[in-house]
Amino acid sequence: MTAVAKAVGIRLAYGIPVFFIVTFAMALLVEFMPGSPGQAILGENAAPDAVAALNERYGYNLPPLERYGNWLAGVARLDLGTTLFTREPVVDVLGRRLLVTLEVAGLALGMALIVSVPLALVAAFRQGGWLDRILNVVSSAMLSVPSFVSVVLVSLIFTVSLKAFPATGWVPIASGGLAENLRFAFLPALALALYETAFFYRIVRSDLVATLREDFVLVARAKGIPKWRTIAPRHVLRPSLTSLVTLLGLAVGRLLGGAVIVEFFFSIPGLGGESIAAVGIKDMNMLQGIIALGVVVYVLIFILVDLAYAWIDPRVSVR
Amino acid sequence: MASTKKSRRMRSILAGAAAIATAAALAACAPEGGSGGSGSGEAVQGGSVTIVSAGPVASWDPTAALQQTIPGLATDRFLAVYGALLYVDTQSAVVPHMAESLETEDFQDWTLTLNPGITFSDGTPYDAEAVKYNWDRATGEGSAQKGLASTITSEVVDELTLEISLTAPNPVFDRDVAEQLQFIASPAALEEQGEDYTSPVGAGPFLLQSWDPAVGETMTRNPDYFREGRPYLDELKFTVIADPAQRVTTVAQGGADIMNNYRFALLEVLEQPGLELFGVASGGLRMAVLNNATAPFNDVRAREAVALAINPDEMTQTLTQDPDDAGWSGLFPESSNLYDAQYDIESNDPDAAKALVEELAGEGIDTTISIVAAAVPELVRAGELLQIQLSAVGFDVQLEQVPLGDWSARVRVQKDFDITLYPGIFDLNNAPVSMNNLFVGTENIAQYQSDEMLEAVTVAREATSADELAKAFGTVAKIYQRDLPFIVFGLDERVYLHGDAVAGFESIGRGMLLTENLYRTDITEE
Repeated sequence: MTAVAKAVGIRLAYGIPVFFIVTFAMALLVEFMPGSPGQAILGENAAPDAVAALNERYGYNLPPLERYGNWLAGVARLDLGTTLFTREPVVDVLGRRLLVTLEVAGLALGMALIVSVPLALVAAFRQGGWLDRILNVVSSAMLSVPSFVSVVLVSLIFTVSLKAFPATGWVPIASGGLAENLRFAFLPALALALYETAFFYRIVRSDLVATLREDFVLVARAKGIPKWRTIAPRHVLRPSLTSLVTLLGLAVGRLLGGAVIVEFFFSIPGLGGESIAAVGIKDMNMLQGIIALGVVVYVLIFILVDLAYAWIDPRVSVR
Repeated sequence: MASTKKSRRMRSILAGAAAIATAAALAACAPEGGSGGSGSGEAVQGGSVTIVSAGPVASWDPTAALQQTIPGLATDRFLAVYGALLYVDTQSAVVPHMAESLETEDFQDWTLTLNPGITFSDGTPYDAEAVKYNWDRATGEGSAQKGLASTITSEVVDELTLEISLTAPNPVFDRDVAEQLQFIASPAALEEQGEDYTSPVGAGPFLLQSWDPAVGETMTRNPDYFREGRPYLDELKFTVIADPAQRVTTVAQGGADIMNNYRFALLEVLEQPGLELFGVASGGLRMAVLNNATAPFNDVRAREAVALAINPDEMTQTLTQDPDDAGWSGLFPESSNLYDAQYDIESNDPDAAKALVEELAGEGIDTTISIVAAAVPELVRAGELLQIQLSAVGFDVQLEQVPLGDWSARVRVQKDFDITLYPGIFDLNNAPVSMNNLFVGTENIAQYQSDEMLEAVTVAREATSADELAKAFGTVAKIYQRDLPFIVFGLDERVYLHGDAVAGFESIGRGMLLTENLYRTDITEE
């Protein structure tokens, strides 16, 4: 077995207890609902028979361990149950929603990287200059804007004032084409990207400044190697990306969380919007599915982050 | 400009609320209304319209939720898919729709006659058997209409006729049907799908094509709809947008065609080109509800002190943020023939209010009170002003905000409040039913108890002419003026904000749209 495969296997093994702990905790939360889950779902004035029927249908009348065991058995078959009212398989709904959220988060990450890394490079090479100082101030300001403010700002500028993009809604690529899809995805992605751009910029710039002080960079410059064509991308940027790689993993998690606000505001049918809807109607199957998916995504992301370290910096080996 | 705005606002309210003035015969079979409403030009077949909604449809089962005719709820979509047996129009008249008539001689035995030739979208007949099936099913456990449905015994006479016998005479049974039992689903579909009733089958103007609770619904024209030539639209969409500001922006931008809200919430976009407003005629009351069951408001002097402390103009202007808005102190709008100015409540007299509070305090009555306001911006503003106004006359006032979703549990169920601001407006549509609910029924949040008022609203429910109704509600207003279980401080109306390319607006009930009459003015018939 290669070292990489072994490393992946170990990390997956670490992820399994995390999965159990988080999903079991989620299952236990149901026990804290007033009355019973059926009562909470149908309301205080619901008939007792209807409440009992709903509890039985979804297994809320079972002891928590037994209910959790049944759910795990379903997970093994990729059956996460059905949604509360539409009776669709949770797996199907999650799949649809996840694609939307991943697209928005991916676009946001892409925007952030495209803007932050080049700017960080320029600012690091011209440390202390006017551009560095301006970007320092701008990035501080952007870091101060939480996502629930950035959505309003972005909407105010691009929708209300410029009328350049639609205020709400989503057009899938399959039905509207890529251009129309991107027209609806741009503003949500931009709202998410603002914070990430500033965050990445600050971290990458800091790492770049430290790397620029290394002897091998001094040697490369003394040898007359082209600064922007060779030194910057190969000698300076690459070893400075380890922090960024870690942050990318964290950023994905943050984007998934921030996407809740963005999806709510822009009425996007992603995981975040589904989470809000599921909480509102107390769709426990859907919430359990979203939590489980979140755990799996996080574990996979950090495995990829560790693997990426080794690829970026040969000095690091995966164990 | 200010006076023009104010007079325009009042004209709009009064013109719209002229509905109440007619108060047609309660059990009459008025001819079905035509497609009135705003819009111009000939109605053209075709096109698509998108209506913005705040929330999704949770279930298509007609028994799943109480059928309120307030726009923006699931019943908007129910009306599109199922049509309605009867509805109450904005003049408070009961209008047969899928039914031809619902008649009675004694208010206990009724005869429902259906229009011929109506079929559900699965081909099964929309007949007396189908109505009976649905109404019998509504008596089941978990049905939101169980209370009304349980009073009904029905017998199929022939394909189009259902004989109904009630457990007791109910003068407003037709109104109750129009608001609670109006949606009839295909019995075959209900039986076939059982608990998984997610593909509704109705006989309404539209057929449900897709349903995603996070996104909305898409419907297409029902080619077999019983009204020839209707609906005009080929496609009707409901899209869910949770954020209120984004709903307005989406319509203003053209991303959707129609949304509904209160007029004051749309002030900023009213002047934008390409947008129009359609007012829902019935209108409603803005009021502060007092807990009549506990001290100090179990004493009418304390209630009177609140009425005198309140400045209705200031309260309304603070709530709506419209400096030209005017308050109101009557139980009905001025244009209504149910309105009598002599029964307006006295208000805005802080000195008199102070004297009453001092009198109460002198007798050892605790004048410490709490205002419970749902945590929505307009109600919080109004609550803060109310706190100031009541403090100024001697009450010791605490203001407590509760999440909107918790307001009902706190106020209606726990009854844990001294004063609360009624969230939204209390609809004046269907006055014999709504006023009965307000004073003695499900909307009697104030826990007001009065045999005299009970008798007065009962007489109003049994009135069979406009004059009788006016006289009966005169008595209601007189008792209200004396007892002051709640304090009316304003009038408001729901409106539809829509693009100017959509016409054919006609609202029913408390504001639902008859979507079968909508059409686009920006397409031409081929």
